[in-house]
Amino acid sequence: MLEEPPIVDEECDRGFIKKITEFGGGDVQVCMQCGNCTGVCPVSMKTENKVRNIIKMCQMGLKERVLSTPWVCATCYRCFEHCPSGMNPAELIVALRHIVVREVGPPPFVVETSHNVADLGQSMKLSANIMEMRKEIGLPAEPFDKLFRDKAVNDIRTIMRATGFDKLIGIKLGD
Amino acid sequence: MIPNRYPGIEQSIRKVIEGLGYGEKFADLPQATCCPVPGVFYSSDKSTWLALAARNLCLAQDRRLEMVTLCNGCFASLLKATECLSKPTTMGEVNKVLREICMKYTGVPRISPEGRRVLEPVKVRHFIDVLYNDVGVDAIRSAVVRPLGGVKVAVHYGCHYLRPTETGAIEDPGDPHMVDDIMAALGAESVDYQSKLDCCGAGGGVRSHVSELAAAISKDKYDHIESAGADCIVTPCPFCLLQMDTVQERFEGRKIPVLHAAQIIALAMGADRRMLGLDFHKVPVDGVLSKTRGG
Repeated sequence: MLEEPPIVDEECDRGFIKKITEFGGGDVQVCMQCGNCTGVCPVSMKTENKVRNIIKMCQMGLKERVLSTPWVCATCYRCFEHCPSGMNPAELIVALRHIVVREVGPPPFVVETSHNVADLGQSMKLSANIMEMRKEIGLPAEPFDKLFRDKAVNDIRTIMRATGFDKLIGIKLGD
Repeated sequence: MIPNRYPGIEQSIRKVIEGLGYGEKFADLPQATCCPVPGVFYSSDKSTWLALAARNLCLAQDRRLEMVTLCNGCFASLLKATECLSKPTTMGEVNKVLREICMKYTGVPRISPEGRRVLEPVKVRHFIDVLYNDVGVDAIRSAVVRPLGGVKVAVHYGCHYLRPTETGAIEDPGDPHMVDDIMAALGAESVDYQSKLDCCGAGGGVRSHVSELAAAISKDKYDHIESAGADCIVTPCPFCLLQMDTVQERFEGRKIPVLHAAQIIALAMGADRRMLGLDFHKVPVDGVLSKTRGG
């Protein structure tokens, strides 16, 4: 953070804290900057993205700076376990991701996995290799009966349309 | 993820359930889908996440079943969904969406001790909880036909086993023992190591989004497990398995095989090892297999 440009008043977005709360990130103002979260965070240990700094930037409304920090929380919830103020920093990160998806756009893996779920009902594709493996170990090549799978996929697409997820992520749902 | 990436885990749990004589107590949910994966859906749109999870929960609810998962991620995702759905307003909003697919989440009716009809959330359980608390370690020990004497196991619990939700922990997240106890019942020795309760690094989309960072986090764990002299890593989560198994091609030194808990239990219970999908792991599992008596 020391190498970052000085903070100017215009950077501070007064509505940011409220927005974080709306997306379920909790009240960032209860954080007293003790740094316990950073001390137990596997990502903070390996990168410059320290949880405590992110929370401080949220408190100050430094929205642009926060939203440009990478999508790198493992959601291990150790921070929550160690927070003496009762905050759940991992849930704050989840809220920030909601804002990133809406204002910057979803990262590529989110688009790809959403596609898989909408097309197959599963997060990962079923490759020819795996189908072969399934047969070799005595399972049906296709894990799900086609009729059930088609119905499930249809349900998923209906849900995604109803919540507007397809538009939010920018995926096209088949019929 | 299990059926499409690690079908050996699927086959293993089928063998374990059958071998323990619990075949009739379990049923498949053929319409079930991805939980959905929290690093993608819970992170980007909670209302879609909750509706998709509620759809899966309805499948169990309508058949009056508990939902058992073989994955820490599914466990946390579905358990958190039942907690969210306990709020009547949230349940109402979700049901507006579910109406479009002719489903409704209400919870499961039960008769309270006072004789009243109450609705309880669909019960979401991790299979380790079921094995430990319903089946019991003694029953597992009795079912072992190929004891794992001499096998040193490094147990990796994984974050969402330890901390699925703010209040839903199965056991003390600071001092878990269920998987260790099950390993002991199989005859294996669970070795302690420094970062035992730490994250594998893959969760929350880190592996998919910044794989080098996930690998850097895994490296610490790998180093500690390596110096503890473990023969293999055992985890109750397929995603941690994927990470700890595939990440090792980046590291110098001894390769340590990684097994899902269901696989090693099935192995000890005498299942044909070719049926457990072990040959398809990146790090060969042969070393562990040759240590098992009669294996």
